This record gives sequence, C-alpha cells and structure tokens, in this order.
Amino acid sequence: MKPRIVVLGAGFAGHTAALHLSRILKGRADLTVVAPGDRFTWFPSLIWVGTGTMSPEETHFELAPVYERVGADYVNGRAVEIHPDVAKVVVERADGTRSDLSYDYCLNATGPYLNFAGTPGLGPSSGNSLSVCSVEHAVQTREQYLRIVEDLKLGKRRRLLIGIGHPAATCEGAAFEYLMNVDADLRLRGLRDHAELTWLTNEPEPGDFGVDGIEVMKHGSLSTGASLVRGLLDESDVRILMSAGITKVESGRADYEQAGSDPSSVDFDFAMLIPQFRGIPIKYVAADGSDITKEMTQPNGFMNVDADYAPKPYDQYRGTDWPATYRSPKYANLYAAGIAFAPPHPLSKPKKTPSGNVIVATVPRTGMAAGIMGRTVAYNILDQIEGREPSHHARMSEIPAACIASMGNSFWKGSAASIIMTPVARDFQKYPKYGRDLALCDMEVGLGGAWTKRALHSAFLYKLQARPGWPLIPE
Amino acid sequence: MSKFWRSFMPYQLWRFLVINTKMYLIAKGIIGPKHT
Repeated sequence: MKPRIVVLGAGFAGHTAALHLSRILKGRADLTVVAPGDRFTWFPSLIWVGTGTMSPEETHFELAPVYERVGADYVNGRAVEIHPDVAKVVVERADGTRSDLSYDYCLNATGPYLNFAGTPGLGPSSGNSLSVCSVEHAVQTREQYLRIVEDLKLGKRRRLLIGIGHPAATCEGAAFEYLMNVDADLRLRGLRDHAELTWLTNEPEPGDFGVDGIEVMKHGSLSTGASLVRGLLDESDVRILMSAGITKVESGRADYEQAGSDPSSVDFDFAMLIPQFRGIPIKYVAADGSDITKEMTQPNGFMNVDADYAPKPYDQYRGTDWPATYRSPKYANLYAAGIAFAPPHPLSKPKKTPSGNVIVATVPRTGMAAGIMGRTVAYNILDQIEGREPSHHARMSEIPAACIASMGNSFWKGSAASIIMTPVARDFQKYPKYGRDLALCDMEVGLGGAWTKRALHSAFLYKLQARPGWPLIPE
Repeated sequence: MSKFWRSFMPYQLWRFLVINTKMYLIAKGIIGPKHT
C-alpha cells in the first residue's frame, strides 16, 4: 500500500511542498492537499490590487487543475482537528460536511489566521480599517482608495494612515510596499500635495521589516537598510511613527502606544493596517480524546516543531534556536512549515511602552522562506518513506531571502528596493561581526527593482501552476 | 544613489541583470550556504 501524505494548506509552503512531493515521489505515494480556498493567490501583488494598478484576476489561479495535472487529490475544505496518535485529520469541506483523512505523513501549512479581533476596531468587516491580506480585502481597499482619490481631485485634503494594526504583528514589508505604492500612484496622478501620509509601524527603526534590518557593503563602505528606508520616507514626505502599537481603531481615529512616549492617537480618512497573525485554530486530539492543543502549539496558535522554545534574553538568541527539519518533536510523521510553524522568538529587538506593553515586529516567514521550508519538508518526507531519518534542513539562520519592496508598479516610472540577505536570522556564531554574510547581502533602489518585482510575479505564477520546467525556478 | 541613477534606464537594466543573477544563484544554493 502506498504511503498517504496529507498537506494542509495551499499557500507558499503547502503548495510548494505538494509540487515537490508529486515530482520526487512520482506516484509512489497518495498525496492529498486540503485547502479552504479553490485558488492559489500570489499575495505579494495584492498591494497593487489595493491601489487599482492590477486586477485581482491577475493574482491567482485555480488549484484543482494544477493538482489534477501533478496527480494529487484536492479537497476544498479546512482541517479542524488533527489526531496525531491515530494519524488522521478531521476536515470540514466547503459544503459543511466533515470527514476523516488518514495519513502516514502530514504537513501543517495552514498559514495565518488574521486576528483582527486582537485590536479593538481593526479590520474591514466589523472594524474601521482596511487590509490587503486577501484578494477580497485588497479589492475593498482599492474601492476606498479610489474614493479618496476622487476627494483629492476635488481639492479636499485627505489623511492616509498605513502600517501595522497590532503591537506584535508581522508583514511590515507588505504595509511599507502599500504605503510607497500609494505615494507613487498619487504622484503619478498629480494629487500627492493634497494627501498626508503617515507610516505607523511596530518596527524599532525604518527598514527593520521584522528581520532586524539589514547591512550591506557597497564600494567598501557599510550602508544600512535603516538609512535607506528613512531616506525614502523623508523623500516622500511621509510622517513616521516607529515602535508604535495600535491599541484601538475608531472611525477616523487610531489610538496607539509608543516606546518612550505617552499614549497618543492619529486621525485618518483612510487606514490600511495589517492585523496580527495567529495560527489557524486547529484542535489537536490525543488517542484518548483529550485536547492536547496546548502541548502541540505555542500560545499564539502556531505549531511546535524542532526549535528551541526555551525563553531567553535577546542577546542570547542563537541561530540553532531555529528549526531545521520542521518536524514535530512529539510525532515523527507530522510537520509544520511557513507561517504555521511556531518561531522560537522574534528577530527584531522588542521594546516596551511606558505602560509595559511589548512592541515587537514578529518574524516574517512567507514567500521565499516559506517555499524553501515547503521543499525541505517534501525532501524529509521522502527520506522517511525511503527509511531514513530526515536529513534536509532549512533553518531561518541558514536560508537566504530575497525581498523586492515595490514602490510603484509602472514599467517606466516604477521603483522598488531589491533586498537580498543571507541568512534571514542573524547567526553570530557563524558570522561574528554582523550575524550575516555581507558578501551575500545586497540592497538597492531603482527602476530595475520594479521590473524584478513584475518578473517575479509572472515567473512564480508560471512555476506554481507546475508549467513545463517549473523546478528550474527556485523558491 | 541619486534619483538620476535610480531611473537611468541603461544603468537600471545592468543592475536588474546583476541583482537577478545574484538572487538566482543564491536561491538555487549555487553560491552561499547550502540549504534543503
């Protein structure tokens, strides 16, 4: 009987893992992907949907034909329970029915739960702010943004607040991109003078992006992401609120606390604020029926893997704290990758407000990092099927990341910051001076970056549809 | 980098090729630490 593999989630980690599993196993296993949507969305381009410079249809494709082509089963549903002792997942399908899926190997790549409720008044459904974290949210944001554009055309002044909606949220890069795309779009429309832009973020300094910033060596001198991003924000005449955590969003006003300052508020006519991410609510159940979710996850709902979760001060963080194989320490056939795994600690330095609230940019683990983790898990499952212990590793402290921060989606007048860092998590044991290999770090801004961002959009939508030659395109 | 260089097309085309080649080689693990 063939081994059964169940992949939960079809985002960067889950979908990449599924494609590699189908490629490397070549029919030697039964592969099933469970995902609650019927499409894959290329999230990095949703910032363009939110400014109306890209249609939503260009950002996604249907999953079912892809899985049919690679020989995987696809279930449109979501995992509600994992029973690791008996190796089964309880799935709630799109039609509301529940069924069990047994597995020999399971990957939890369920991505983030958008925790709008973590900040009172946040969010597009029942709150007072917008988001670009899903296609539907980005379309909603576009409609509101275009209304603001109409107001500006009439000569009205408008205040736009863009940033992070929770003191411990992640994805600062996406919010920054949205900010800079709004700035670029308003300049192209000749309306920038009437708009006040405010950048509110939980990062300790500009360009931190939840990875503790970046340094690069250019022509023998050191330059930092902080100075580059601050320069860009100043050039664009953006008001900056750093180390700030939003505590409440009311209609037209956001309250925030800031490290080193008293609580304050900022007024807005338009607010796009990224929510906190938590783990997708999944119940873990033991053989006797007891709930073991607390043993399997961290308080934020993300699943424990082979990381060192022992609490320690910031200056004692180590590269080896980060998981290598992404396998559960308790169950040898259960993995978690992408946003679904629990990081051992943040990379950015946490700060405290006078009231004691912690402001920290949490670790981004989407895109390239999630794809590499997905591929790593695929190879580790292959190891196990072939009777070996998992031998593949992709610690955040050893994998690279490339980030293209868009600052305008025009072929002729666009711009983007192209950032390469190796590794993502600083490892001072391996690279004593900066924690990274500066020969493999790069950062620059220009029109070429806009072309790269657009090229990646097309290349990855090609790759992730498993078109001919897709493995040639790296994660 | 000045605004001129950031939008000067021949220079940006060159940088586009350099950065993308570097990204590809690093992502493939051809240069830098091996992963996966």
